Amino acid sequence: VLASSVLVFEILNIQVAHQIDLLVDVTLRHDFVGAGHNGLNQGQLRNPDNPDKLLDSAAADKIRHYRDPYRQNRHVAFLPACMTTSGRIHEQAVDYFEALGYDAHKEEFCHRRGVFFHNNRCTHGMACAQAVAMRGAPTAARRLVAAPQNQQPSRSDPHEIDRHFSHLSDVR
Amino acid sequence: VRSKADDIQQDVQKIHIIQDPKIHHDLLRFCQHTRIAFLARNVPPDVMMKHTNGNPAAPTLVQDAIVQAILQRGLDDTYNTLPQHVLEWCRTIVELPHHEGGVAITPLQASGMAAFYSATANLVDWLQSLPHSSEWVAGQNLADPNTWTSSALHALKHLHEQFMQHYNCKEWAPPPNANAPASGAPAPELDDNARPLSLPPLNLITSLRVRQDEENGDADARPSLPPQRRVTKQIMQEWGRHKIALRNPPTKRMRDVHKLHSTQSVPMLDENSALRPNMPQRDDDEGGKPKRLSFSPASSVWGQMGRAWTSGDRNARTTELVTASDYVAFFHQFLGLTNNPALAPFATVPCGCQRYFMGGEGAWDHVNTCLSHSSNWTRAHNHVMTALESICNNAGYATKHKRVLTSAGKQRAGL
Repeated sequence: VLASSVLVFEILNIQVAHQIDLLVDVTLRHDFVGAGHNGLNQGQLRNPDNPDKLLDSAAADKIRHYRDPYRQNRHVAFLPACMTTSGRIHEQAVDYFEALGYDAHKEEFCHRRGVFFHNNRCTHGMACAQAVAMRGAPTAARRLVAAPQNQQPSRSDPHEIDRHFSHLSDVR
Repeated sequence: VRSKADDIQQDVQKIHIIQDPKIHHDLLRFCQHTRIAFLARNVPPDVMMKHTNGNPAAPTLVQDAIVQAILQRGLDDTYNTLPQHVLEWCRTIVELPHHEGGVAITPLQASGMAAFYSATANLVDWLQSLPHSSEWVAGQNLADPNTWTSSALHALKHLHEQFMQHYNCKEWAPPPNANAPASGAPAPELDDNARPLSLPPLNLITSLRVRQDEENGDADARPSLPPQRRVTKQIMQEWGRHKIALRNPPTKRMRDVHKLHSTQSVPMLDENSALRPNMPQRDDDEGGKPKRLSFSPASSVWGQMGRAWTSGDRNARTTELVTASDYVAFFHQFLGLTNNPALAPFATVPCGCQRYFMGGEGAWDHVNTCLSHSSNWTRAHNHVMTALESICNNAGYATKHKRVLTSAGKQRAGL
């Protein structure tokens, strides 16, 4: 079930932070406490007073673990693109979307730049919303039902579930 | 008005055939919800809100029909099971603006008042600029509201009083002379939301130079007509139905989720940002407030017209298959409802960790945090990454995917 490798993507020749290429590492975190050992905190906000603390710590983790090794080996800039299932995103990602459309010296492009920036935000927001749904989607859930069958018999008939979701024929 | 409302209600029903839930929302919001705006600008609110034969007023009917259609599409079967106070909360979320975490279906009753006020005040200003203006208004003096007898001007006067009494507005008054001695303690600083909206006195409307494009600036130095959207914002801040609902969220979860959807505001030139050298400093920012960027989670999903939810092409390799049922799951999560309909068929199936049933209480949080579901996370992660990649490509940059090995220490992401 666990991924042994992950996909990141590298933007070539973007020239940021004194580096030629930029490597973007995406992570999606959940705002609420899940299954703790005691179960008492399940469903509670992780950081009630500072909802963006989760994003900050995710970005800090990414930078601490990965930025320096990348710099040593590849001479690439590193951008953690962190977001949560509520749709909030880390401030460096906000900076980044703005930077892509930034042209400070030509006022006539301001409107177009705003449209471009809005388009970037909506592309990201829609993808994030869809990703949130995917994390609990029927296709993924059915895959999960199939996975633990080797370890322990399921309490329900998986073929019955297949019949309910027979329209999802593309699922492996 | 009644005929128009009936037409819109019928068309809202016809739109149900649209399969993509986001396109369905766009058609309701941009093509149906706006249809009554022309009437609202030209017909006094008292007439618009007139009840006939025991039926609610036309704007109320249209608003209810559109909000209900959006909620029914988003909640599917759950809609009919929700108690009244939860439905009222959901309705409030749908009606709140994006920056406050809503879907931005502004109540037509509120926007109608702002529309009529702005349209009629601008009309008075324009009429006064015409030669022989008194001929156009049949002997009324536009600079003296006491002589106003026409229904439109009378309605403007009534609306003006209503704004003062119920919507935290005040009439503009000349600022005190800077050399005059201060009277008592200085007035406390109020934020933009708490500050009353300054409206020009009715007898000064004819001498205004309308400044629709100046919202900030030195607004107190001389009277000016606020933009229509600013009047709508002021009315909505005092909208009683929303104030009651927001004070009484049905569950703590709903309150928390709503709080998370408020607009984020971050400094553009954060000193720790790797992008700092690449963010040019504008001249007009120097010496002023540091420039900030904002991001609204709700606006990024519903703010752009014509962007479909479903992927459409089942054979597309670049994106994951996204279905209409995913929208229902997302909508539940957006409103803070903890039952995930996508997991309902698995109610009695134990999770791989053997600690929870898939459809049990808290299942939505569990599938987002239990490692048994990390394959879902990878799928979602790759979907977001593909979207970000498309943003870079649209900006003119080449990209390439890299599959990197898990780092030492069982770190599962990144390097």
